[in-house]
Amino acid sequence: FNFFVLMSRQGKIRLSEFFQSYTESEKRRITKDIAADILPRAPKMCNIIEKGPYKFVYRRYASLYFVVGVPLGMNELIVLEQIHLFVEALDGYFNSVCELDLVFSLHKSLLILFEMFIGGMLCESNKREVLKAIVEAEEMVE
Amino acid sequence: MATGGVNLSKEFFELLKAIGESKSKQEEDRIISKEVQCLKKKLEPTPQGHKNPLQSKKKAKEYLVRLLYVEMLGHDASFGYIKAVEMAASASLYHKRTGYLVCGACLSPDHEFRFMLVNQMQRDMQSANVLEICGGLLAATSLITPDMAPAIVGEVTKLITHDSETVRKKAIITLHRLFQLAPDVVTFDDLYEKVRKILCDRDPSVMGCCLNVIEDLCIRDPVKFKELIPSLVSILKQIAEHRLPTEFDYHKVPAPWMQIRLVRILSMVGQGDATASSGMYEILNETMKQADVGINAGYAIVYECVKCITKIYPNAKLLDAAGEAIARFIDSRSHNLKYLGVTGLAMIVETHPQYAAQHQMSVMDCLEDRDETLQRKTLDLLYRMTNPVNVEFITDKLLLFLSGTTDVFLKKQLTTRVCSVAERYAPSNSWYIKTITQLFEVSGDHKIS
Repeated sequence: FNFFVLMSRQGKIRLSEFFQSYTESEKRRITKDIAADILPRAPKMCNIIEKGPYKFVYRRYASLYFVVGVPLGMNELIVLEQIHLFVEALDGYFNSVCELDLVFSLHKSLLILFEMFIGGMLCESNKREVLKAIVEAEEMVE
Repeated sequence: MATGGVNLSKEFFELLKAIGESKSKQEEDRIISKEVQCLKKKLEPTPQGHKNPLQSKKKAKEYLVRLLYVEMLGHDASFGYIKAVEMAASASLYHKRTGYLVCGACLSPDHEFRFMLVNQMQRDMQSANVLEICGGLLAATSLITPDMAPAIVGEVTKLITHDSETVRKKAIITLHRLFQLAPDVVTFDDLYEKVRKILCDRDPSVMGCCLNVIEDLCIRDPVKFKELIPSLVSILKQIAEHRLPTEFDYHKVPAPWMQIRLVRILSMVGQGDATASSGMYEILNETMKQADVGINAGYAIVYECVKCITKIYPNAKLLDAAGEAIARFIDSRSHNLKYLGVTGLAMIVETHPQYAAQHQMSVMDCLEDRDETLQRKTLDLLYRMTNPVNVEFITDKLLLFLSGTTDVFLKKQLTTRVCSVAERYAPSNSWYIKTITQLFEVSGDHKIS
């Protein structure tokens, strides 16, 4: 992956992670593009938008858009499933996750993201393992 | 199971509420500046012996999270970075992880604080506690710079043979990252040797993880991996035949991520090489059949197989199967599948134009669809399908879209394409001149590369 952004329907960023090094202005441009291109799309349309050297692959869950930036050769359908896997993990951790959970526990969502996707590649596809690692770490807080 | 929200202070809650309800960017900025002031004060070094150390650690963690929030929304919170570095040195794992997390998210690649963390990461990687090791490895992937690489490469290499499979998984990815950043410290051959061994790791998920690395290495040097074809084919066979433990199933499809990586690696290795490709035909056919279960994960595998079939040395039976799969995608009602169908057809048509004819109607439908992504992809397909018979029709369509779009990237692409098909397939000189004139009218200010 090149980047991973969660944006609400009103255009607020709930989480953003850039796996490659992007300059500040590039990051801002990407965010603007996401808001301009993805938010207005109708539900039945393709979940893929080609944007020059990369593609947006997105999926909408309730009021939140999960947007991934991927290089051109990547299999878009499997990326959609990877997004879903991440959502399933969040769901398992927060017990039926909602947008507010992500807002209030940004660092926890990021920890889950990093446990699953290291360097932008899916490394741990087993939900149980991911959650086990996170919960074990938390239980070690004195 | 811990749930979010329980450990938060009222202040944090108020802050988030305020940002959520802010009606304009200026208001949001104001709220954040106030927060920044507040954080600055709180994160100043506390006077000795005034606070209970445990209490302040918990508070400190919360302040760091607020810092993270502030940075994510685009503001600078660099005054707090040193606190994050300190936290990473904390004995408590959770605080340590949070410290690393904030450092990874906020410190730019040339920030001097990154060096302070090298020792910390080394110590964590030598710890007896698996979670601490993992913490160190994860931090390394996001914080390491080329000059820091030599310092930790020894530790990371040792961890590749660690007992715990979680550690092994993260270690190989971290090693790969080091290779990306500092190919003189971790050479291609080093990594290749390690990866070969891990392919036979007793735990399938470690093997799956290393497929990521193999895929990247394969892009750089596919020839080297030809000797691995038999192993890769055998692994793919085992997965497709459901011989992995059921915990690897994703909605009844066995390890789709691994199947796709394997197919992609095979497509890179088999390109243009008849002998190499012949070893793959059977397994590709089988994988495609097994994956056809009616859900997205399965379709993703079928699509990857189609891509592979078009890249490697051609085989008539497989191409027919691919053509059939594509037909089903294009005729499906899901826009995503149509998109994949059109993309797949574009790939087949380049080398085997005969497959295009039977899908003309469905392709035309895609062109008329309101979905812009689909339209563009279909245009791309049409361009690849151009021949002396349909050149006039296709050029018309290309010009139509060219005049209707404002996207610079698309305009350039279409301009170049119209030029090239006009030159190659022009039925007559007068048509050619007419077309080029139209082209200039529509996009005269764009340079034709």
